[in-house]
Amino acid sequence: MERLLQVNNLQTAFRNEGRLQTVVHGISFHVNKGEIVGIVGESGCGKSVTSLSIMRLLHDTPGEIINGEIIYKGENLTQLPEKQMKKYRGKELSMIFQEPMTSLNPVLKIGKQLRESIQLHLKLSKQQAHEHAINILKSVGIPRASDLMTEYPHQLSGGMRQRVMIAMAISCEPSLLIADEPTTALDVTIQAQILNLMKDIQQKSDMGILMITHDLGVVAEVCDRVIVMYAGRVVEDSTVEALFASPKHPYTKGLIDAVPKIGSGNQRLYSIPGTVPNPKNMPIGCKFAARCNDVMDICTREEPNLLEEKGHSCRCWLYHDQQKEVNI
Amino acid sequence: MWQYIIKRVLGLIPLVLVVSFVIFMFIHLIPGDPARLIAGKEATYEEVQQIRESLGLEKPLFVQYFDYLKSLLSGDLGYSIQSGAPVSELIGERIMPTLGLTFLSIGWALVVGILLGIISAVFRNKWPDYLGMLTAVSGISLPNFWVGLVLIQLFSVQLGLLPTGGADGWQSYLMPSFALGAGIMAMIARFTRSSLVNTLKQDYIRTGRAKGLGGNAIIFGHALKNSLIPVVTIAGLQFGFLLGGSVVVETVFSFPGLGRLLIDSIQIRDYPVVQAEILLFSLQFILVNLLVDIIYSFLNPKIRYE
Ligand SMILES: Nc1ncnc2c1ncn2[C@@H]1O[C@H](COP(=O)(O)OP(=O)(O)OP(=O)(O)O)[C@@H](O)[C@H]1O
Ligand code: SF4
Ligand SMILES: [Mg+2]
Repeated sequence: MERLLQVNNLQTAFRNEGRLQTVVHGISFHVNKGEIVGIVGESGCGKSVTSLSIMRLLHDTPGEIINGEIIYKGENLTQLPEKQMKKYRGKELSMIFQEPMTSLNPVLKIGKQLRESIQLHLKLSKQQAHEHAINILKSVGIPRASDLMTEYPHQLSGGMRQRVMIAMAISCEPSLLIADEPTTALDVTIQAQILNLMKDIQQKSDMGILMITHDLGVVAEVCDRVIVMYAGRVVEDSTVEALFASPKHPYTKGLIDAVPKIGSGNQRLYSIPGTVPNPKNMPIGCKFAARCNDVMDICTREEPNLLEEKGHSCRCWLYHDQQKEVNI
Repeated sequence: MWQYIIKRVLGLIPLVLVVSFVIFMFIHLIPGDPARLIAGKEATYEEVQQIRESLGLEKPLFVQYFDYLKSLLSGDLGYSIQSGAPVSELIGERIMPTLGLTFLSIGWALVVGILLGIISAVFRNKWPDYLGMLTAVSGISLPNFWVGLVLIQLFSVQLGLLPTGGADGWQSYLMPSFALGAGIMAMIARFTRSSLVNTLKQDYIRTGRAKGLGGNAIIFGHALKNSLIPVVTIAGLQFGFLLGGSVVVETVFSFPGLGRLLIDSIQIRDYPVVQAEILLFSLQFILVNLLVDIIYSFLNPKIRYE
């Protein structure tokens, strides 16, 4: 399979009162062509920062990549001059954001916002771009596409806006689409529609999608592979089938238990007790130790490495040979 | 859009009626007999009586008010006590210089203020920002009469480049419009800066960057229109206050405009002239407000569709 994106040891930090505070701690993963890869984890684990790092859109939030490589089609994006990167954004890699209500410019017509990147990247005339935009809108399931072109975002529902965002993101046929919680702000029926739409688009165009979510239900629905993140680290990386069939990391098991099961009769939602550690006060050993039922001595002393076995990686002492040695 | 404008204009009619009524009452609220006040201390009883009749003061108040509205609509603003000339004529002579001065002042203040604000926002916390905001703070803190006096001292007295006063030719507009616009320019620069800085943090700006747009397309294509919404409000208010400011500046520069006419008329208690000027200033304020609302609706589609 052709490798589209390879992230190696990415570290991203924010400057906070003069001090660098790392929020993404050396994560590595890849996305192949035509593959939907999920990133899951609780709020604050660094999913959005990871996606903004790939797009190199951190400078407005005073964040910076301090280490690592982001290799896209063989080219290291972290070394790319901003001018070149601009040509990639919206053309090669594009992004859909979490908040459909605020991600469109309220004072510009939908048509103008759609045409903009088409004219910029595909070098089409205004008229051609207009027609192209209408076709794209139709392809994301908007029936009255040409009316919509002259409307403003506030006239549209949340689901409609997210369709427009998707249309905008795919309008120049990118090879990689990063979708940062594209359905979180929408209600359940609309969520399902949007997910189906994205799957459809992916099958037709063969692009790679990085699907960021905190909902394992979404992962089960659309993804091929999945990366579980905790406190800025990858803790598990596997195919979706393997993850649900035999989850390894205690955190992943907790997440799976937290997925509401339809018809289980049990209406109470299970959630993992405790909270994510504060980045200012990170524990030394395994970052999940304070919430883990299987915690051992070594867990609080030393952080485990990410170890791979048959394409299924996990960062936990339970699966470490070293830990076994220690225990015997 | 047109629907919105027509709705706004029709909505102004009650306001204009109230304002004109208050101004009409002005002459009745002055303690004493208005006819005697207008006639002056030395007037005989007959003279006062004659004035009373000519003004219709013996009629019921609301009839007087309708007469007043009727004469306003026909362009009759009464007669000056001082010179006996029609007030409309006195104002007619002065209105063009004052309008010229006002528009020149607000014009340069808007252009320079917005540019300065953009530069400061784009280079925030770097030296162009500090320089721009230093200029703005000085513009706000220095009173316009003082700026006027310094300008006269420098360009007229020392260098002899510009006339000290009057309204003959464009040269005589330069210093007064600078003095009048400086504070407004400063205010607009500061509002533009803070508004733009805030806009640049919004999610849709990040969307624009994610599309591959460059700095100029982001600032001018996406951020500026949003940022100008609060700026328009403040500019409109300042424009309204310009009318007050022009009284001071017109005095400093002996500028033959409405502001000076007002001061002169108040000093000699020429009530018909004062009344007409107040009416004019109030209408101007209302018109500016209307203009602000229209620009507002142009910038913000949400308002248009409500
Ligand atoms: N602009 C910023 N300045 C400082 N810290 C930040 C900034 N943006 C994010 N962070 C920190 O980085 C960490 C990761 O944030 P991120 O937004 O990536 O989380 P997330 O996984 O996307 O969460 P969510 O599910 O809530 O979207 C958090 O601890 C957050 O406090
Ligand atoms: S390393 Fe220890 S604490 Fe961490 S998840 Fe594994 S068992 Fe739990
Ligand atoms: Mg996020």
